[in-house]
Amino acid sequence: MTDSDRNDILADIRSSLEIASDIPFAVGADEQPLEGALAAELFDDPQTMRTRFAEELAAVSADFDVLDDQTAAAKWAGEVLAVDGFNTLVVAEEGICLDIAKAIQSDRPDLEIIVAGDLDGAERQARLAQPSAALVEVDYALADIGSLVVLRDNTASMLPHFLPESVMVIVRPEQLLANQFELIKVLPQDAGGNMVFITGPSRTADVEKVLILGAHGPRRVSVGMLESAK
Amino acid sequence: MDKTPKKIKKYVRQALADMPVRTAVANAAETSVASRDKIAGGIPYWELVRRKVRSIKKDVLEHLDEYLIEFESNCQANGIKVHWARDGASAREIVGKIARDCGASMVVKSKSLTTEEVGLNAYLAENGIEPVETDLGECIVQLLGQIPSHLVAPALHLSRQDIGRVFQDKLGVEYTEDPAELTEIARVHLRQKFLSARMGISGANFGIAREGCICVVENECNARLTVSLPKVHVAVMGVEKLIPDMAALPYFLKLLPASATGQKSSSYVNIIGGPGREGAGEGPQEVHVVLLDNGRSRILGDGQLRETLMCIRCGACLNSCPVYRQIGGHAYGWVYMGPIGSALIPQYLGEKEGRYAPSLSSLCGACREICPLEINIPRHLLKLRNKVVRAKQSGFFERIAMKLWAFAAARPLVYRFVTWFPGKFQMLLPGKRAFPAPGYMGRRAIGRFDSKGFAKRFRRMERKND
Repeated sequence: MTDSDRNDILADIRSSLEIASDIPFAVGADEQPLEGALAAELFDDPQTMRTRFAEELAAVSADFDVLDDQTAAAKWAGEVLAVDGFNTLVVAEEGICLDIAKAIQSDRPDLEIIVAGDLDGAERQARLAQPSAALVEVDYALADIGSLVVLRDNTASMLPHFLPESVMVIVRPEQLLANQFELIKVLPQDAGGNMVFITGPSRTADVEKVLILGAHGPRRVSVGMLESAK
Repeated sequence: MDKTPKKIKKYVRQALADMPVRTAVANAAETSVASRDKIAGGIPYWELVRRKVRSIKKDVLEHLDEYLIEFESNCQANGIKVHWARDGASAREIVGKIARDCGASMVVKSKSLTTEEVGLNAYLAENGIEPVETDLGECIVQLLGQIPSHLVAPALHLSRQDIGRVFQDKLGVEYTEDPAELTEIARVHLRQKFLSARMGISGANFGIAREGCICVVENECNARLTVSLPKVHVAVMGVEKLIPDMAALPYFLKLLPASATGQKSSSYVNIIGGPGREGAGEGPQEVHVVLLDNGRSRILGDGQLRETLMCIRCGACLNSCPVYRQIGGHAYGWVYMGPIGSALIPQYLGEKEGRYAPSLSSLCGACREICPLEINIPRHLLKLRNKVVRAKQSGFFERIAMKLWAFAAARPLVYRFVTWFPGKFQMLLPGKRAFPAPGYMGRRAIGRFDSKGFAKRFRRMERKND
């Protein structure tokens, strides 16, 4: 790049903008009716929001379960692991997911646990790209579209969310928000720049519009709402 | 395939003669419109969001220089290197240099129309850098040496048998036509590429000015892997792709997946605001954004056609277009197709090169109706047809015919004679045949002239009504 390219482009744009616009205004683009409509979309109570979240997850081929505590979470994760027969469980770092993984391992000594954050970059990629399952946390969940939101800076590794074939996600009730508009209001100022919204397993319909789950990322996404972290 | 619209008539003839492709494209387009209608119909404030997004985009275009400077400055603050490319050649050189500097002999790419527009793959290949398309549809058309036939579904025109054969030939796998097995073959083939590539190239659906980041929307997770596994990530983005801030993003994310694929949300919305954290062991070490002009600042200089820069490349106008449904995407001869392609081609390539594109439309208005930004494509196509004529780029016989028509239409007596004459003269044709119209009658029936004529019938009708 040269500065002249930059300056030439900006000069051309400024010169073009001297021509009056003939783009008609969007009739009725007032803020008020839209804000009213968005407010009407908010949920009356947490239970309604949770029900909607579960429905939306089902619509994108993701599973949803309510987990009373860590013991229930370990039982649930163990059952999901058994569906695909994986012997490797990946977690991002120390914390609740590692605790749950260890609880599963106490019943399944053959289970290998990988803590992604403990591996160096190249090894992390190579290990996680092998057939495996992951147990991860997210930062927010969005009820109206069944999305999970991961902020890069809140996790030691984002690869467990994308590389393994089966991804189990722990969500806390207080992380559930109505929609993206509500998310934007609560996002930390410095977190805006690096995040991912995940909505169900990876998918493609590039062969004759036939929907196939598991294109390049996870084939299975299972969400467990953990009521109590104990 | 020649990636220029020079041979557009030939492409259209080929497309019309290919019934399996016509049927596949029409069916897929119809399914897409039905999915989109279902999602849009389920959002009670859909129309309000459309208007909001339109007003945001209008504001961005009309202050584009200010938003670009804000975007550049905030990207740089986030550690993103910003490059400005005046044209395709400049963009190719910038990306090629970044690839050489990081020692990449192979790059993984997620779907990007902007890189198709500048012919990046051919340039990289000529310079010894293998470009690997990782979106399944893009991967298939790349293996076939074709260009995408749809903005969102690049391999829409191919059958599962076509895809099975190309995988067998190019990837050396056993023939299968099962979509799940075909997807698995691509997954295994491309995963190794993701893990070994030093550089990933993506487009950007949106550049977010205030936060200095880009947003890439996708379903397959290939873009996620492209932007996070290699050491270097380069995003090539048209200058018009900006939105003001993160608060505006949810409005666009309501419209884009619904209009593109009939989803409430795409499976992955990647927001990239800089290289990976130091010492974190993942994420690219370098992130580059190439801001591409390539004629966009010129388009901005037409107060009316400026509206075409609002396009968010959802492809909904293609799905609803009766012409696209019949001829598919390749007939347009370039990387943009369908109604919005018809409007963009002559603007990017000039009235001479793109002279036929604005005519590939029935002007029925279905594109405007379905467009999430309500871009008045039919109005722009009429203006572009007019520009083609004024630039003396319409065909010789068309010009003569139009001149004769204008001469007659301005003289009632002459007009009456030339419309009366064929009606009488056709009586000489045996068996009540119509006048022969070579070329035109190959695919259509042509009727006989009404011997009474419109004017006479109209006067009689008026008398009756009185």
